[in-house]
Amino acid sequence: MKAEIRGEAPCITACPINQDARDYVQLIARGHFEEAFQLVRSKNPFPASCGRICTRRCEEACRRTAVDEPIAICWLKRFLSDKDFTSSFTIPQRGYAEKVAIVGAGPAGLSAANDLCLLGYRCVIFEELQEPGGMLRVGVPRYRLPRESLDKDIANILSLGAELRTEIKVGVDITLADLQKEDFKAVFLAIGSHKPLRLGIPGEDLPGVIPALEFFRKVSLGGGPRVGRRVAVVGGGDTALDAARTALRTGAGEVSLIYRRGLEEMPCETEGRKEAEEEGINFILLAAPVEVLGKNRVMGLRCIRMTLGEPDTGGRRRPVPLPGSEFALAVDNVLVAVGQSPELGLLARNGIEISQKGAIKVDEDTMLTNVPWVFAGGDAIALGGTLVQAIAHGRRAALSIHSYLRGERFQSPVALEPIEELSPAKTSLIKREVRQRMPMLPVAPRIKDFNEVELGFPEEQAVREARRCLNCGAGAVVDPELCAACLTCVRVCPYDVPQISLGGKRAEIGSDCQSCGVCAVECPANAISLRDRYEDMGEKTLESVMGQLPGRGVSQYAPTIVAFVCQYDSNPPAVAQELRRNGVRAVEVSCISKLEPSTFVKAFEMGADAVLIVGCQPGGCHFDAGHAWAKRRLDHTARLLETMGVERQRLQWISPIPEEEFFKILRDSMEEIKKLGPVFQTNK
Amino acid sequence: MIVARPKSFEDIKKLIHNYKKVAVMGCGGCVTVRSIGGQKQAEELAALIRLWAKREGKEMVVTEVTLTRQCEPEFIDSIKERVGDWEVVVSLACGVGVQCLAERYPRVKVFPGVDTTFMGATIEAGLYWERCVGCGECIVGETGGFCPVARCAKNMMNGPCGGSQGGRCEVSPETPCVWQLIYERMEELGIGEELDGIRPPKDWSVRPQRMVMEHLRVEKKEP
Ligand SMILES: Cc1cc2nc3c(=O)[nH]c(=O)nc-3n(C[C@H](O)[C@H](O)[C@H](O)COP(=O)(O)OP(=O)(O)OC[C@H]3O[C@@H](n4cnc5c(N)ncnc54)[C@H](O)[C@@H]3O)c2cc1C
Ligand code: SF4
Ligand code: SF4
Ligand code: SF4
Ligand code: SF4
Repeated sequence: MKAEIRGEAPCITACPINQDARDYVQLIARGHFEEAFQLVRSKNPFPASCGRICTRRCEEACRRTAVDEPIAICWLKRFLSDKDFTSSFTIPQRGYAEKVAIVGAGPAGLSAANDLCLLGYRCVIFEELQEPGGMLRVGVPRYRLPRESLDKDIANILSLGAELRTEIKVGVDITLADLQKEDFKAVFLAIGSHKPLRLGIPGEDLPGVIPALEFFRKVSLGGGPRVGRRVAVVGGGDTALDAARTALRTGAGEVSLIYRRGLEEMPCETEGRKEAEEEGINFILLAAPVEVLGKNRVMGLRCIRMTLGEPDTGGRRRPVPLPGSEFALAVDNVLVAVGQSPELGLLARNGIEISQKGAIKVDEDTMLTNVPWVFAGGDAIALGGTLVQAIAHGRRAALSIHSYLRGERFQSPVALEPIEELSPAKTSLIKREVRQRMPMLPVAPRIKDFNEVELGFPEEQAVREARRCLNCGAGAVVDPELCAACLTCVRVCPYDVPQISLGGKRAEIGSDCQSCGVCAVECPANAISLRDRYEDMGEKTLESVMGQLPGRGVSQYAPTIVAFVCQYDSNPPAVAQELRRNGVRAVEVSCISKLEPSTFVKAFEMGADAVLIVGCQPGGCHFDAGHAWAKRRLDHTARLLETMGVERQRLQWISPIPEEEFFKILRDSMEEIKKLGPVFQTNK
Repeated sequence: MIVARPKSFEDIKKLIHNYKKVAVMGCGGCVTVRSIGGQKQAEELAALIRLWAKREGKEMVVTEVTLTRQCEPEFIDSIKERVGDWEVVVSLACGVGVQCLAERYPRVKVFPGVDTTFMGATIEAGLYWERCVGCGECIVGETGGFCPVARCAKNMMNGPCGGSQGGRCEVSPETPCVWQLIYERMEELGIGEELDGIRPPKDWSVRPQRMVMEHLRVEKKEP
């Protein structure tokens, strides 16, 4: 019996697709990259794209923020996507007969296709442009999302079997009625919102005023317009930032971004904003354009200062113009990035209901429009949407379409609740660990071309970053039937988390648990386990590594050596390589404090001639206390083993740093162990 | 609570080396609370025995079981179907538990895996100290809440002796002299004069002690 889990890690609950952020981060922390990738891919058809441009609601919610900075969850996903893993799905052999039409090959449409194929449906995606990807291809610039990364995601999705028909505009080249005739049983409209909104000021139609989307489209299709030396961009979102940075890369020398609210209010990603600042974009905040100046071409932009007034219905403070504060900027181009809405042609003709703001109206639960077989999602229903939201819509629509086609009522997935916040008393007990910085191209060369600015984490940095994760909601849990209320956990926990519940009957471990595992090892009643489904305290992995390798040679003795390795505070690839080179079987654990004395003994029983513990030095542990606990248990076990004649050198701790020293000590130990001969003498 | 100390592996080896079917039995009571004989420790000892047997080239089947309490007939009965599988049981319970097992299952050899040491309290994590000997006639009401029988090296009823040095016991300087503590506390309470008389020796004649709780005795007979 286990106590009920109340809530889930906030990084998971905050994500529109409930991506298993904590779990893949924990897998990276243990060096299990492929498993981590498959976990990501199981919920997210766009790991390479999301790993680069996602708006990161997970990081906003990350509990680590209360200690120092959030985990770089997004960059860790990118780290996985940069490796050469491909998804491993099995498509149902006998699928359903119904065909589904998907209009638009942006992230919403492709995500729906991904899931519908996995459910066993045949899907055809109709796309107006030459290539799939939607805004990810013709909007988001390559220096943030290289085409190869996007192509990788899309190829992976299409490999599941959806048919893509490009250069077909639904509503023009083919109508919804035609689709019905072609025997499509459901349609998913994922047409995005591509019609730019206008500024509504005089001079807007002068040549040289370019809607941002048009600008991107031309640039991304090659040979786009060269802009003049001085460019003004109007808007404050990701699109505006991208327009400004793209202008810089296509010839502009001086780029100003004009936004009517303040820096704090900008609806864009902080990382992107910082990068734009570095590149020298001039932010003119609390200002709005009132007129584009010029006769046959743009000569300037007249603006007015704004101030923030009363909050509007959405809770954001409304900008109000300051009378008499007008000023003019001399510019050669004006790029307009103040939003967009879906193209209505197709919709109007088919009687599909549209909201006042111009988005398609749907039932938010089922994604169904007012037309019974037509579903919609993505930017087309949520103006100013995001990639992850488009994915969420596509995935939900796939489930809803499945229910519709099977004649079942749609059961919307249960919304997950986040666990409690980290209590302030604990934050000071948690070790400060700086967030890893993203390696980036230097500013000077990068603004000359469209090469990717962020270079990605190398393995060492990725593991280091992942180890910062507090593993929220996956910590220790007490089996009340086994607990003897002995108080051991209360006394040993480095973070003072366990408490004996009111009435003094059983221990309870709350959501501040850091999953260090100390209590689980020390509990004499074996009443404590860790919820983390990837945590086996080294045991299962031990069994598998002992089973894996070939038996030793008959003629020459080579000792069987097992190393329990913690990835923290070391260079994991180097350590792993050195162990492999020496024929040592590695069991990765997330902290050597999770190792039970009986696990060491079992390693010998399974045939190890020596057991090494490769983990942090005194004081170096992520949990602070881990090293001391591990050392104590190691000494205790070594003493017991000595009483039966197992030599001390057969159970050793080695620090993985400094690297050179580690290599040397490892080599020496190997020699020593070899001299001792087998633990089990065959002649006995 | 009862405190025990694990026997050395050397001793355990001697007890079991002639047998092939061994059970290591933990107890969920006092020895669990003391991290001496709980499920975890039973698991550890069993792993050690298996490793040792393998090294010695012995064929040995080692089982681990933990009873809720080894001093209660109902819990002891819960293994009656399985005892037949074992030649030896190494019990990690206190001496009470070991004997209960031995009495209930006369055909199995029951060996103690721990040395039962005393009834004591946790002073701090991992430090236990004797406080009571179970003399059968509690007098701490007269001695300021300190037991001279358990805590005086000479079990003196009228202390301190001449070996009390600066509040420490001459037998071991780590031990505070309990009679010093008694005097200080009684003075503090303003009843120091109560110590003036001579306390008679305790009656140690009736051993083993036996206790009957009449109101808890149950007779369930068919009506
Ligand atoms: C410059 C820019 C930067 C952005 N930056 C970010 C960011 O950093 N992070 C983030 O999360 N989001 C960002 N976004 C938003 C993100 O790209 C969108 O939210 C997302 O692409 C929406 O996906 P979708 O599938 O709904 O629509 P789209 O991606 O717009 O795809 C719609 C597809 O439908 C096609 N289509 C339209 N009408 C028809 C028709 N009638 N017939 C056939 N095909 C049709 C279109 O050609 C298009 O391919 C950015 C957007 C832009 C423009
Ligand atoms: S610390 Fe880890 S588990 Fe907790 S919210 Fe952040 S990423 Fe998620
Ligand atoms: S250590 Fe185990 S038995 Fe003791 S109080 Fe904690 S959960 Fe209960
Ligand atoms: S796992 Fe560690 S942090 Fe969590 S309750 Fe146990 S000892 Fe405390
Ligand atoms: S057998 Fe001994 S250790 Fe176990 S509960 Fe009874 S008295 Fe305590």
